Amino acid sequence: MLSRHGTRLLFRKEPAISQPTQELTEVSQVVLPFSFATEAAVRPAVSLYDTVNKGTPLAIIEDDPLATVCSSVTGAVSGERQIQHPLYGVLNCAVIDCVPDMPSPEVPVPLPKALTPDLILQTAETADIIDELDGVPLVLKLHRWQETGCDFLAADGIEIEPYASSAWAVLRDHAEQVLEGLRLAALCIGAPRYHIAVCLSGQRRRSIALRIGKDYLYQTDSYYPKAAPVRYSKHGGRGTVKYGSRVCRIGIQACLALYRALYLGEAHNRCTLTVAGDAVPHPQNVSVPFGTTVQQVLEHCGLIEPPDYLILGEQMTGTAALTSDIPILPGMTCILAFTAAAIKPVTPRTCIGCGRCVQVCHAGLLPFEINRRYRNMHYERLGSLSTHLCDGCNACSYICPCGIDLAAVVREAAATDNTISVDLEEDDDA
Amino acid sequence: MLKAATAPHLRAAQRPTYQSYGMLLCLVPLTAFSCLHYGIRPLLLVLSGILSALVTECICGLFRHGRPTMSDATCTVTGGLIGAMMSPLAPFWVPAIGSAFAIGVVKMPFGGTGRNIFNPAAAGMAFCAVCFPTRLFMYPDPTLTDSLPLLDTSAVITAASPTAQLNSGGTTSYGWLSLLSGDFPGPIGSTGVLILLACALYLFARRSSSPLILVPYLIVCAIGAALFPRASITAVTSVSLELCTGLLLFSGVFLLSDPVTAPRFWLARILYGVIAAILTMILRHYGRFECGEFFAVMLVNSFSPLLDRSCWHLTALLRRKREEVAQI
Repeated sequence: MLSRHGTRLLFRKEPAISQPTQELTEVSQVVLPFSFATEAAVRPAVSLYDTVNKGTPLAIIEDDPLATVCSSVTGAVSGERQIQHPLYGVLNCAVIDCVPDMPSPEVPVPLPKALTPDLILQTAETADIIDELDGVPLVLKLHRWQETGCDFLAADGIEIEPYASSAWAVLRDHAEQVLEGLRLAALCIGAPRYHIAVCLSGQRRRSIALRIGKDYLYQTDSYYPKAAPVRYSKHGGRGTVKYGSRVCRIGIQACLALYRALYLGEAHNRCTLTVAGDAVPHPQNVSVPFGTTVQQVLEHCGLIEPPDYLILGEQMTGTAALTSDIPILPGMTCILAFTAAAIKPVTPRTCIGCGRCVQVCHAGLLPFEINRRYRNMHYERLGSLSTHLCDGCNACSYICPCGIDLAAVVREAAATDNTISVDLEEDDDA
Repeated sequence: MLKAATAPHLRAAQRPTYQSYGMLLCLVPLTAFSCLHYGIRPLLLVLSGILSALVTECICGLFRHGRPTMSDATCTVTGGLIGAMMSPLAPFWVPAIGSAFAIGVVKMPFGGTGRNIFNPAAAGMAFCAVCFPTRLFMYPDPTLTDSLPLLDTSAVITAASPTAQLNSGGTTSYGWLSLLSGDFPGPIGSTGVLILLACALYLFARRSSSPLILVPYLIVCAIGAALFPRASITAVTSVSLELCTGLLLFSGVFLLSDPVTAPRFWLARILYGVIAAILTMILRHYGRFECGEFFAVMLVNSFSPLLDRSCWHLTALLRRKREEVAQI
């Protein structure tokens, strides 16, 4: 179903969302990169056969300490590997054979007398919390928001895409802790208002609202991609934000990690992700230590034979992986495995000009016109169509009845804009 | 072995034929309604248009690609629409020629589906109106006719349509009831007013057509009819006669909403409907033919790309200014 600037996607979160979140504890091996998204010089802090504990830094990066990755398990380093990760590029990784942890009860750490912004920042840094929304260390985001100011902090638990339900699962299991983590983050950056944005059905929403209070739960629009964590209005009344306000987004799992770091002293070394798709026998949400390979997670969900397609991320924006022997790293919240029957290759046809791409584009672009000009090589006329505003939601490609990958064309057009100039008159003369 | 793929990995289930099948489905009750009045002849006229369009598309496809191309069903819709705009008395070769012209001259030389500048059905109808006006605008009287003969129609009692009566400045005796029940002379697909409205709602519901075009079109036509009646009648009578008779409603539902030639941007669609309505009313007042709606559709088709771009630039400019004001 179409709406202005959005389309309603099919609901495919069942049965994963109805299952309890499984904790993957018996992991035989993890693969963790020495560093994460940095160009600084990396000096490994562990060598072959070294024993590492949970939280041990794997490398020393003097220029960029925040890029240091700590071990998510206790075990022994059994090797080093270079991995071509579909999302993070080439990574030098340590292979760690896990030793089963002794089960230890959760011991609350003594709280300081006052939770100051500096203490929260310091905890986010020492706990190595990474926001799952964008894979950026939380301390960096909090520090930036402190400097720029923030009028509203929204925890993004919308999960508007069809399969992913990890944020919903975390909220279902730990709604109070997530809200407390959000409150602490808001306290840290001085945001006067905050809420948790969700796109839940009535029963699920009511059960969470009963636990945390309905004022802290905001139900978003159910159309992709226009579902936004806040609603703007002229005067910024109840439940809305005034136009021009600075709104910041934080992940649900990051809020929970902040709560756990402050109250339980835990480092952020696990994530919850949805494993779904028609090739998965038991779709579910799984909590795994960072570095667990995708193959281990798929096997845990009952998938023995490799699927035809493996998608890291969601249906609309995910990246296809060519191997399942890659580690799960911060920022990954969904793994989809499909058979060839589910993903049928589409043969693009000529645009019939139905205008659906214009209706779903929340950036207000004219994808059909960009496609026409790009195909006709009118590169010099692309600049006036604001191709740079495209945020890659792929809604236009999804809705196009002719199977044209309009989003790819818009991306190519944005890259081509102002770089190629074709003098058509000169060509004609030639 | 895992395969590579690009996002989005699953797509919406709709196919290009979705809109064509919707339109074809709408033509069924319209033709059936006409068949109730005039027998099987209207159905054969519509089928004649469809058959001619299919054959022409096949021939053009053979010339262009070396194989027939009619998989998207748009040529069927074009032929069906031309047949539905004919008078029930028209010879069978008239819709056939109109469809052949629409496909062979207006659609395929420009590159086929999605690349034509003018609506093929409107252009085909305009061609027929210019070439065979006497055969196109001669309608049987529905109150005096049971079933039309298939071939020799010379003995059929004809009647002037309400639009022709208005065009000559005379008065008409058709009230609301006869207009809504379709008891007046007119083209095959345009007399079932209530069915046309139901078709419009159906096409809106399945998103094959946009109310942003039809609603402004009908409103401006109604205002034009109320302000400038073509005969010495009341404003209400003028509005009812103008909206319900001729091809006004039919072209609003089927021709103006053609996805290829209509604008895609919301503001452009509204303006498109308004301009189409103004042109329709001007052609009704000063045009030579009693039904000049297809000329209005063709004229407004030429504005479509310009409307799209200028309206998009205007709204983008306004949005940028609003954002600047909000940031201050």
